[in-house]
Amino acid sequence: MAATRRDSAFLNIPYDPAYEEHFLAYIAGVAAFGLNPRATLELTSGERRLDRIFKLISACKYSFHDLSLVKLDRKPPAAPRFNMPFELGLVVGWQKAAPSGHDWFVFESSRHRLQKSLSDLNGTDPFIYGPTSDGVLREIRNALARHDMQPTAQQMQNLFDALKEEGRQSILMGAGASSLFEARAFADLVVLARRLAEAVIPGLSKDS
Amino acid sequence: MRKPVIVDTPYPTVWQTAKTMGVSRKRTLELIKLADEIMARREQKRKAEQSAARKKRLKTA
Repeated sequence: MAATRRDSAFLNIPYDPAYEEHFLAYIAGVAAFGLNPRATLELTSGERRLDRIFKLISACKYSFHDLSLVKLDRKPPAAPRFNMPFELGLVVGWQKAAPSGHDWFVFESSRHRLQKSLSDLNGTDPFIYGPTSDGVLREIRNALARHDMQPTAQQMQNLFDALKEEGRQSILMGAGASSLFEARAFADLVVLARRLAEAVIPGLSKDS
Repeated sequence: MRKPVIVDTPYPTVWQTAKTMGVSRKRTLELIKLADEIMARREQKRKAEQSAARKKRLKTA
């Protein structure tokens, strides 16, 4: 398996300003476990979007699917956000048809909502996070484990706090972005999170 | 509750992550510097808070 695939985790999450803290929590949590977060934010124009999404997902060993914002948009026309369940369906279908050892995790903010919104997944244990950023970090710790160096709750919290309190603003300024949900800002955040992970989790590689 | 999935890949370096994300060498160096500055500021703040708490304890003792 290619190194980039083994250490990549696809984040299937809403790109919504109200969700920004959770977005940072996913990046911090995944980075603390030594994985590189990937998202459709990286995709530029070119081939058909669906093909690019599938290519990105299949370049990842893990995927996190947050279905908490599958609800009607406030902006007219009122329509539910189908992208998250659709991308989850792509992964499930892919792994049923051609299992490749991809591990997928469903995250929800409240218990029992998934049974109502996506009953086809009954029997799959969702990770219920709260809905708080601390809860996202906690559930990532419940989803993943490492034998060599398990990040502690405090280390993950420190990484998240550093990203949220100081990294966020610097990234927006440096990338000339108006939102973290832009390609350049996202790429910068991932690199910053990697370096911060090295600082807050002693023993990680410092050979950069 | 589902058992956690074991991640056994080595931690990528900043440079490997930057390559995966398509971030230039120049920008990666800036981000490394930014991360180091953030951590230094946080450490300084933590020490100042510890020192203030110690002084407060001594005062009340």
